[in-house]
Amino acid sequence: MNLSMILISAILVNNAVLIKSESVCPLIGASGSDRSAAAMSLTVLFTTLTAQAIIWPIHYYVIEPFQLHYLETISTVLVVAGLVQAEELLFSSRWPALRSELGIYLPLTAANGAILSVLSENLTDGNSFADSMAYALGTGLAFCLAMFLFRCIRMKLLYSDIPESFRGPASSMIAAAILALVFMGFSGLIEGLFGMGM
Amino acid sequence: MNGVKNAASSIIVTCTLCLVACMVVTLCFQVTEERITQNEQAKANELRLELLPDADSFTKVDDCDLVQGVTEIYKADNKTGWIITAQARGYQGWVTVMTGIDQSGKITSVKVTDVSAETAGIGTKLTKQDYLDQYRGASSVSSYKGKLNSTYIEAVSGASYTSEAVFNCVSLSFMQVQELIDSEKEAKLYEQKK
Amino acid sequence: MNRKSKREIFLNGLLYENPLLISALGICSALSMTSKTADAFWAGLTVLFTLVCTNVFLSALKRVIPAQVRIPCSMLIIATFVTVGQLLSKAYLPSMDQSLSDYLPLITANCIILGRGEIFACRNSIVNSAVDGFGCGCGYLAALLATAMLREILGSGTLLGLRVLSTNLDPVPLFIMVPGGLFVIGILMALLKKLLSLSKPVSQNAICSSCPASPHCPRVGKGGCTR
Repeated sequence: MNLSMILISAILVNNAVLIKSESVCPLIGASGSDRSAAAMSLTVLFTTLTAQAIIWPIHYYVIEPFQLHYLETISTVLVVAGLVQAEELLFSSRWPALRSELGIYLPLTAANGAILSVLSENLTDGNSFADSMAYALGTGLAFCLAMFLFRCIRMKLLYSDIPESFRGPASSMIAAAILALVFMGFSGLIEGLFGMGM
Repeated sequence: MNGVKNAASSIIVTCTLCLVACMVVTLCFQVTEERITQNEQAKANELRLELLPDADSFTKVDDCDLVQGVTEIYKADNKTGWIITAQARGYQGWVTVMTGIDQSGKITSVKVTDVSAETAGIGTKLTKQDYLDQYRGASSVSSYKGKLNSTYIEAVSGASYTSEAVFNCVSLSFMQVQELIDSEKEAKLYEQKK
Repeated sequence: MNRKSKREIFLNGLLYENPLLISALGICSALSMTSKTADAFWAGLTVLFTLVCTNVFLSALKRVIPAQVRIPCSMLIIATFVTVGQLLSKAYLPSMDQSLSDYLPLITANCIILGRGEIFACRNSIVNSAVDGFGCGCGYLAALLATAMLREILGSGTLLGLRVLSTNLDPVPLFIMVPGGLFVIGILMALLKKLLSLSKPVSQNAICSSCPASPHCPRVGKGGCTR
């Protein structure tokens, strides 16, 4: 699979957030302001790429040779959590206001389903380093796209007259539902763009 | 000084916790390893019996050359057929398919055992028995309508790469069975010549 | 921290800070695990169990773990529980393993466990953390069951595999897919919020204490929330 196919697949057809329904929580939580949305997207993108770059060699030079597959989860989680902790320290020291805006969703990046799943899928599928990095880039960008669209929707919602019970996460969820529905329309895009397989 | 002390204690605590975690998991693995392999073998055997119901038990075929893409061959002990496990590249990863072929070279059943790498919801349509039933009884498969003596296999719309992967796996299984039959014939002729 | 009774902590986790419906955590697992009620039940149960255990551990180790490495250490504990759980279920519950193998990896990515650990377990006693874990776990289980029942009935016309919708009505498969799930959860969120506001008037403090951002928010208790 070439790079463009991987990227289109990861960003549109198989969008980690809206199609595979991973990591929806930060979408709802960090889209309160433009700054926090941008910060969250960049954090996820950076974490995914760096974690993939570190985990691929660990898997092929440490885990595979010694057959330590049962330590796979722990090593993946540790790398991601370590990166997130470093990011948290960075944010706390340089941009403390942004850190408070993100609240608990910054540490929660360590439990980001999209990141953990793309890391483990790349290992299960036995992708090469280049392909794995491409998938990681695609997943990070997928999150950025979903976050960006969602932030735009929430800005519109701010000026709408929402019933009392629906204010807050409830209206966001329903907006996310419609967004997910829209993304379902991308299925079959790969076959259309790159020619039918059979 | 405080900063260094903090950093040192952080590193020590994390490393200790890491070690403890690894030890706990390794210990658990040692304890459960045997049972897990037993359970997996029992499950695999059950799956094989589903694919080739006339068989009684299976033996793994190790001495035959595997066609590129075939990962496992199991032969039924009562000579009713073979189970071939093959892998082919699908949309985003590998698709694993098990095919049961009887002695006459006809497919008894096809099971897609691993389609997790494909598009969720659409790729998984290929695991449904109603779709895979079109493979049943075929002695040759083709993706073109109208090919003589070949069963036409329809792809699932929106999952053509995954459908192609399943098709390829089944084709590989046919090739493998043909090689197995040929090598058995050769072995018989060799025995007769002796 | 105000001193709360065990009952208050439990009710907090169950209703006022319901992890799925009020704090909007753990949505990922909720979306994938609520297409069938049986799946939702087992998924909720595994989260409940892991949540209690992790909360207890984190609370026990709260003085040992420095603040700078809280995240990797919490995730290490969670990952260890999940791996051990996976190995044990593969060995001793092979019949359940097929479905359990779907839920267990999701727990590592479940925001509730890490979230509750950061908000509650790091600052409270072991017993209180266990109660909080139990309350939140029950709240999550209840929310999952409610979502799953709605999704299953509307989406496939069945409940626990038995057809309940009249055969004259066609189910709407969209409810089993991601958009349907998001929609159902949104409606349930609004419903719970309405029910809670009817039973007792919601003070600003209560709103803030249920918000996952509260440990770091500069506007705690003062209103003017941007969420």
